[in-house]
Amino acid sequence: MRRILSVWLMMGGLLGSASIAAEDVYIDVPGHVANCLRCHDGGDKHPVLEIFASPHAVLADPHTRFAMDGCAACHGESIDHSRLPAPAGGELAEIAFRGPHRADTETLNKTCMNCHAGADMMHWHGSDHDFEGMACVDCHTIHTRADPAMDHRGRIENCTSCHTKQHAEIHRAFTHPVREGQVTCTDCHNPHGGIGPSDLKTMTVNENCYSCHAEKRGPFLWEHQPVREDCTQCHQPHGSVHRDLLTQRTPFLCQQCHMGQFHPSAALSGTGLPGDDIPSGSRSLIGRDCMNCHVQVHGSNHPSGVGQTR
Amino acid sequence: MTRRYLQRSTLLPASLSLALLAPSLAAEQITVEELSPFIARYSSVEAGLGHVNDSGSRLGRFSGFGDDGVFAVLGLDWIQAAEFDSDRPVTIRLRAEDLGLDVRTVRLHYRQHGTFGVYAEYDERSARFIDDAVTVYREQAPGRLALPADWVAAPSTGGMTALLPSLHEFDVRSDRRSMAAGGDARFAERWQISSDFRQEERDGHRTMAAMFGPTGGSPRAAFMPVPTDYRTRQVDLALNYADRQRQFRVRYHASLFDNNQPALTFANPFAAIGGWHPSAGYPAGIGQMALPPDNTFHQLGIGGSHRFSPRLTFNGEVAFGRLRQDEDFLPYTVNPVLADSIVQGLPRASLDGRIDTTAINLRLAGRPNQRFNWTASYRFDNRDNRTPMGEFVYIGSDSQLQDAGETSSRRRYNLPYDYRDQRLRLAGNWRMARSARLQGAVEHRRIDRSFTARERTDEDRLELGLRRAFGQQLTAGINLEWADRSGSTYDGAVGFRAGHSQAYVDTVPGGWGELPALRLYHLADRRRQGVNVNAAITPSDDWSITLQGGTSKDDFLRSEIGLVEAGNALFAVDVSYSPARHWSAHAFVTHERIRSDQDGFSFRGGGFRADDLANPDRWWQARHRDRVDTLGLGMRRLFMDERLELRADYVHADARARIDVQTGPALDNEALPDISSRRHTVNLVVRYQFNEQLSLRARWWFERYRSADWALDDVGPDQLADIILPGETGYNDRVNVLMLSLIHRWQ
Repeated sequence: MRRILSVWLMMGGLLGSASIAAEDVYIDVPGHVANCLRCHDGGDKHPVLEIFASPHAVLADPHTRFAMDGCAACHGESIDHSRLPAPAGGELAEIAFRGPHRADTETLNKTCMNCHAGADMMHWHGSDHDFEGMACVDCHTIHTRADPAMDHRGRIENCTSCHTKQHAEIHRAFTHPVREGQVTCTDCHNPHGGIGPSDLKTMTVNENCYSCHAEKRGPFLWEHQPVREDCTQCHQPHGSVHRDLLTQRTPFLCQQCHMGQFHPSAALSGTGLPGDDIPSGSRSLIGRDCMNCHVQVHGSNHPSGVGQTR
Repeated sequence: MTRRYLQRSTLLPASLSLALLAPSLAAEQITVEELSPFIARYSSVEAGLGHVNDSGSRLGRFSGFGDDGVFAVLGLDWIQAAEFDSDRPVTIRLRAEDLGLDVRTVRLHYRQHGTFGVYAEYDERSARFIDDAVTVYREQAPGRLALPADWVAAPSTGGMTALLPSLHEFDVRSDRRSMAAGGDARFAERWQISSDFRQEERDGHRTMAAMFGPTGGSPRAAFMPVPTDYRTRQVDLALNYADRQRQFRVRYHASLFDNNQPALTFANPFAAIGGWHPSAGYPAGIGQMALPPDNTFHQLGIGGSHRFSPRLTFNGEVAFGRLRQDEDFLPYTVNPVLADSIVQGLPRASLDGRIDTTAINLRLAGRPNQRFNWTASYRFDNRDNRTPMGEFVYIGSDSQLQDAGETSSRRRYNLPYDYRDQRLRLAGNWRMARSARLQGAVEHRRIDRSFTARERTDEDRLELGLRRAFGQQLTAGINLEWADRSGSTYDGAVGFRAGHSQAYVDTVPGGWGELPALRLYHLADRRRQGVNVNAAITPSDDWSITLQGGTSKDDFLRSEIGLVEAGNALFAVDVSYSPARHWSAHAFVTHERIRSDQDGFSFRGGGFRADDLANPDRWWQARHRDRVDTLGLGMRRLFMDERLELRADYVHADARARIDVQTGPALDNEALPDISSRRHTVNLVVRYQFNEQLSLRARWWFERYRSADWALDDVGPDQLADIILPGETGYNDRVNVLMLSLIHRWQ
């Protein structure tokens, strides 16, 4: 049910000033906000009034265009719409952000970028989301006191609603704590255009991983070349069916690169599984397999750690 | 009573004033009080109790529900925000979440809109990996692990009669506590500075094996608790400039890692065996492991964006960094008898490790008209490893005398790997008509490496996509990908030769360490092909359905040994239904298949070398087939004039990994069981609003998790003859978490 806001119509300034009590305060809302609110009230299908509880409507903020132009700052002056809106047979707002008459993406994003052109947005142009023609409002909700995209759990839902593969991966058996909300997509990625590959917030993949796993940064005396190059050579950051987020089950993953004499090249199969006797089983297959001995696969700084055992 | 009215500005554009006034000759005023239900800022405090009925380590792994029993449900969201028309637009917010758990967070923000903001945070995170791992070691002193006094050593676990009685438990977990503070401030209209200072302390235990004996020879190992006592400090400072046409940023990043436990010394629970020096075995045998060394990373970045015109934009970032690590070296061995054999000492006291990084990311984006946009980008990632090389004559895991002979295989050289990655990419996006879009991209990537089997790899990639709308209710698309990687001559022995003395290499027939037919998968020739189809269906405003299906295949064309083929297939359906603000539901189903094929050759070397290499019956193959199915259902509904909220989510995730090993007649082979995991998770939240201020929230979190893993299931600490395992098992959890809390809110 539409909630009708009171609108005092004053027939002329003299009559108006005479009918209002002396202690009343007039908030000089710019543009034609008060006029807009005659229709866009609390019962609107797309509620707009919460914008007054958001940073967008802080009148004392000189960087908020709402403070200067009100609703027109984003929706255009929309003079004809103000006189006779579309539902009454008149015109649409000049810039509509949702619905069948939504303006083109370039117009929408330009509206947002008029204010949001800071450092975090510096790499927006040509970024994956820009290239795909995404609009800011595809993720963000403006007329609300709390934009879900700015909440850490909301961000995950926002991202996974399109990134289906990653959505499935975070439900795999071995993941970062994304489902628990302790790590969010935007901890690593900048959806507005990152400086690294895949819109990462760091210049390289490894820099990103080291931000939480600094102990693996080294450099080490005995390096493991693929580790130094790119963590994703062996790990799937969004989730894996194999332990430690590995791309493949060890020891077979290790054997895709290590095929030297004796145990590295041995054919490992069910023959290495434990039998009825104790002890039994292959140390290359049971427990941590290769990592039963080669415990420092990310690199060793021990002078005798050549084989990553120290 | 004072009433506040929103009033149309007197500074309206002349045209708008006329337009508005002409029909009605009226001005509009609305009271702020009438807006208040929509603009009120509510603070809230939540208090209650929760109960975990089983300390299942899977559910509790990251969630904080790791311990059985009662816990407090405590949270606070206090917000003090000036109203939109305030002359002093300040927002202060204090948020505290999960105070009763060990994943608690407290954040305080102060912001004066348009001017500056500051914040302080405290965050605790806990990760539990193995509850009740076992070990025979006791901490004798910080950094030193000893065996029990009545320890009975033997060459194999089978003879260790005191092993099982000596075991004691420890948790493999990691607890992170971080504090952060920072802020940002605007000045001179278009300039802004920002800062972030962060310190994280991490402690807990990992488990790693204390190993003795030379690798490839006669190793013995026992898992032990390895303490983590890390501290990482990070600093980020930035100076930003932004106007509508250009942005500019200079930033500095520093990350300083300290490990308060740089080494761990441990006793050897095994009696000496053949191939070891007698002093290496119990009781005199001791070993030492290097734990992660202190290291630093500093980076200076300069980035910018310039809009030449509404149709052409440039943005880029250049960053120069330096990684340093100079922790003092540990000795070759801590066994005094073995140490006496050292005739060639360490080449220097520490690594003096240094990698200078240069990263450049440049992009030109054009939009010549409404129907076409393009990007041209170049990415450069150079890691110049300035770590000096040295000659080390290592002692194999505290078990052998030093062999410094001219042809010793233990005379080794560290390899400071350089890496340079360059990518050039051109992409275009053409809207052929209002309903159709064609995308294409061409990319060339070149990587140069040192000390690796291939100095250079080149990869060309093509991408093509077509998307078309069929009316208002259906949009469908197809994406194709093709990539081809090749490179310079592959020489798998480069690292072997560079890492050993020439005198030793000369003694090795063929001069190689890994089989020459092996191709490392990140260096090998590879052809990638992929196709992905998708459709978005919106039968009405209330419904949204997306379908996605895709497959990709990697063919490692010239790999005889190693990864020879890989691929995956994905099918996903996502449905959401949202007929009204108070009622929504969603469902998703995904089915994934991941496969890879690898070939190997069982090669014994030594006296078998010639015979083995000539024997085709020693080939083996491993075919990996992973299958993952995920189903999710969820709904949210408000009842009773929005006083009652019900939210429910269910997820079922089922994964199965099959490894099929086939061998030649010369090798033994038996089937491996599947590795599997199955999880059911139910989340139910009911919230009832008694009145404007008070509500009751009840939550039920149920998780059933089962896994099967042949490497862990029914494998005790004494299962293997030569490794004392940590007793890690697969998961079989059934956990209920109940939480009941009252939420009080106020304006």
